[in-house]
Formats: sequence, C-alpha cells, structure tokens
Amino acid sequence: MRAIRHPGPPLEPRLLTARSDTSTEFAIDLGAGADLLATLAEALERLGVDTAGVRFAGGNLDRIGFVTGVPDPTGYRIATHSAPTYLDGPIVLIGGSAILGRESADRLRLHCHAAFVAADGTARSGHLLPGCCPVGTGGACAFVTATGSAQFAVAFDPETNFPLLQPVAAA
Amino acid sequence: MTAGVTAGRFGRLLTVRVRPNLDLTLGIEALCADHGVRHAEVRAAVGSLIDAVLVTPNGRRTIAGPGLEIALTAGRVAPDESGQPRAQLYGLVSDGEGRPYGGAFARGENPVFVTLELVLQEWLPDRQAT
Repeated sequence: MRAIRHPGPPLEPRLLTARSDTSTEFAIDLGAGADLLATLAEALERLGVDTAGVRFAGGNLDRIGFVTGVPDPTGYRIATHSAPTYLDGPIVLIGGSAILGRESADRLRLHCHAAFVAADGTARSGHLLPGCCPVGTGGACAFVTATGSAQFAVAFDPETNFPLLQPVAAA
Repeated sequence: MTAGVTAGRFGRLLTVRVRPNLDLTLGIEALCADHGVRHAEVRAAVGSLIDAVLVTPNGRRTIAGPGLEIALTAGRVAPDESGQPRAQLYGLVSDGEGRPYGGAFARGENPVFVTLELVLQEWLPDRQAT
C-alpha cells in the first residue's frame, strides 16, 4: 500500500469524529424536473437538516454533470477535479452516497459520488455536480440519515489544501 | 437453506473523516474499537483512494490511481473470533475517466487519497431469532 505526500504537513489525529446518540431518518422522493442535489439540499434545509448522510436508491435523470479526480498541474494540491463532463439522458442512476454539511452561514455543501448508466448503456461513476442533474420521468429517491449532534462542516485542511467536510460536535 | 435473523435497532452515530494514507477498512475498525462499537453499518461514505485493491469473482484486482473516487460503499462491522471489530466493505470506485470497478475492498490495501467522509452507525442486536 503506497502513501502520498500532500503539500502540507501530516496532521493528527488521522481519524476525526463526532458522536451523536440520536439520528433521524427521512425518505425523499424527487420528481421529474427537480435537481437531484440542489432540490434535495433545499428540501432538507426546509426540514431543519443541515448535516446528514444520504443514500440514493436509484432513479432516472434527464441529464448528468460530473467530474473525476485528476492531478493538479499547479502543484498547489496533489489533485483537483477534471473539467465537467455533461451527458444527455436518459440516465439511470444506480446508486450513490452523499454527505451534507454546512459550508457557511447561508450555504450547504452536498458532496455526492454516484454510479449510473449513460444513454449509450455504459456504466460510469463520478462526483456529481449540483444544479446539473435534472431528475427525469419516474423520479429518484434518497434515504437520508440526519446525524443529530454529530455534524459535518466545511473547514480548510492545511494538509491537503482543500476545504473539506469535517466532523464537528454541535455546540 | 438458512437465514440468520437478528432483531435490533440502531444506536450511536459517528460522523467521521479519515485523513490521507490510512486504509479504509482499518480506519473503520480502529474507530469502532476506540468507541466500543461492536456492530455497525456504513450509512454513507464519500471520498477517494490512492489505489484500490478489490476482491472479485476473478480474484484480486488492483486499480492504479492516484485519485480513484469511491462511488458506492456498503458494509458492516461485526466482532471477529477474538471480539475485535472487523469491517467488511464492498463498493465501486471510478478512475479519472469515470470508469467504475466493483468488488470487496481488500483489508489493508485501500489507502485514502484526500479524504473519506463517513457516517457510521452502531447496530445493537436484541436477540438472535431463527
């Protein structure tokens, strides 16, 4: 197993965690025309949920936008995201996961990786882009675990030079 | 034909970030040991790996990175014969072209690249039914 040296010094602890004794479950059905990620985040924010783990239980998309990981040519980070790929549907969403956390006082981040079958029948997967994945006929479904007092919030990580979702205990 | 049925409920929930170079499976096991969690389920996981070693019906498959995105992860934690938490994880990773590769994650051979964000929840078995 090889290791990678990131731009910043390795930080401790290597495992960051927050614990909650309670959690809440939701099933969210997204109808045709909704955006897979943006509409989901909006629905959860209306429920007062700003931190959660999400499991997509499949669905249909009219279009998809996604990126993958590629080397960062500037060297500021070890890697960055590729240019977006946009594919027209129909797209079958097989499944995926997302982590919801607070990015700022007025903004949530929904970090989603998912697998899907493109219109040409090819299985693909990647990091989905909010606002670029309109739900198609038949809809899509997500099961959400709101994580209670164990939250995620974006913080700059000086080891990797990325702003990343990190665990934080609710005040 | 047998089926082991265990009634139970979810318990404590952990939000987690695994930093770079730590193995996905060993990280989850260490976390469970630290928190006294014997049984658990992965509720959501998003992140990336340096390289991946997946166990498939055709044997072990190595996917070279760095920078493989974890597209799907399912898995559980249960105690081994000595009572230590053991994680069994399955999923899909994708390469820089978005090509997916699936299988069981080989223990100790899937180092985190930039981050792994994880929701892990304790499973509390009540009793063993037939």
